[in-house]
Amino acid sequence: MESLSDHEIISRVLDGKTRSFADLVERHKDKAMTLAMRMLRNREEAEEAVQDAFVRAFNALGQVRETVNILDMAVSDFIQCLLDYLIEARGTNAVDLFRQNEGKSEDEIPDFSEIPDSIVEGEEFRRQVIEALNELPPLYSGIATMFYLDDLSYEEIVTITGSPLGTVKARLFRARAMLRDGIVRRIGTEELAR
Amino acid sequence: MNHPTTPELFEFIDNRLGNERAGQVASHLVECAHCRRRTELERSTHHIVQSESLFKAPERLTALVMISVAAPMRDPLGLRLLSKLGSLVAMIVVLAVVGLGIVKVSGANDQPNKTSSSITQVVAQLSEVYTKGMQTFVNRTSTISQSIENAGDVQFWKTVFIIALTIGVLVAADRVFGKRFIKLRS
Repeated sequence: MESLSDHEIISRVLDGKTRSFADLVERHKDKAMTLAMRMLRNREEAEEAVQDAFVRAFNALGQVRETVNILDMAVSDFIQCLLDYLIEARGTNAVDLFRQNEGKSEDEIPDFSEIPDSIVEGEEFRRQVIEALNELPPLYSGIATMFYLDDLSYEEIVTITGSPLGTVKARLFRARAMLRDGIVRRIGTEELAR
Repeated sequence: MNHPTTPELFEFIDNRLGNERAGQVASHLVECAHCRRRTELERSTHHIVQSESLFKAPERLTALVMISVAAPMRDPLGLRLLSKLGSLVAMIVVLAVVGLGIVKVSGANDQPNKTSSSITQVVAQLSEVYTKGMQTFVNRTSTISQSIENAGDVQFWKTVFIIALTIGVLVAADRVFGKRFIKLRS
């Protein structure tokens, strides 16, 4: 079976071969679901959001003439779709979503050098990382997932989110710092006390 | 050298720190176990999140998406287009009626209206026909309309009624024809 790039698939869809869009959905649905789950934390909402997002992306295809940035646009629409669901589900606004449950300052984190290698390399550490990621406020969890999971650069996240570079960097650093603090608090309080 | 700040350390790990500062941080890491561990933690976290298995989307998702995107193509009567055209016409009527009301209010005391245009006159005639029909409906079906008539400000209430009715038609059209996709649940 021939393996087309995303842009080639989009070109086919724009040429009227609508069924090709299914290949694009199949290719990206798990990543989309992961991002949606990290942000929404509710399987039913996440499934609905992902379905909605793919349909929005399809409808948007007919409104563009060039396919160069169409994927960025589709992902951007997807993020906006998730935000819409978040805001609707939580009855809050995007700014508040960033303010929820922010972590403690760095001063309260124990000395990192005391954390032994055996902890950082173990399966338990992996579990703590994922649990800490799941406890981040939704938008920080989303931006961290985009950065880590997809290896997106700062500039790519800027394109997707439409936020200025400074804002993206600040939020990404905050997300990573909160994640690290959450991990250290978990292993710090349990393991360093032994 | 002091410990690098958290943003500096992240930029160092991301290879985005300037050469000079990156060299200083690298030298510091050789000497500082605390910062080495900070760096290792971040790199390990990156690796773990990246390699963590993805949440599986349901198998039916692709089918549901394709059903939804195919829906507009199964519209042989062109109802969506008609709905959009109808909405556009209705919006123009609403704006014209509101505009006419404003013109009439501003041109009170039966002064000749200098701002009237041929378009406004046509809309006025159309709205008059519409209004007559609505007037008949109101007269026949509602005792409230009688009290409104008695209130003496009939023209105002006619306009309100027409606007409300038009908005109602628009909302109904959107509900019936404007649904973007089918949400099927398991």
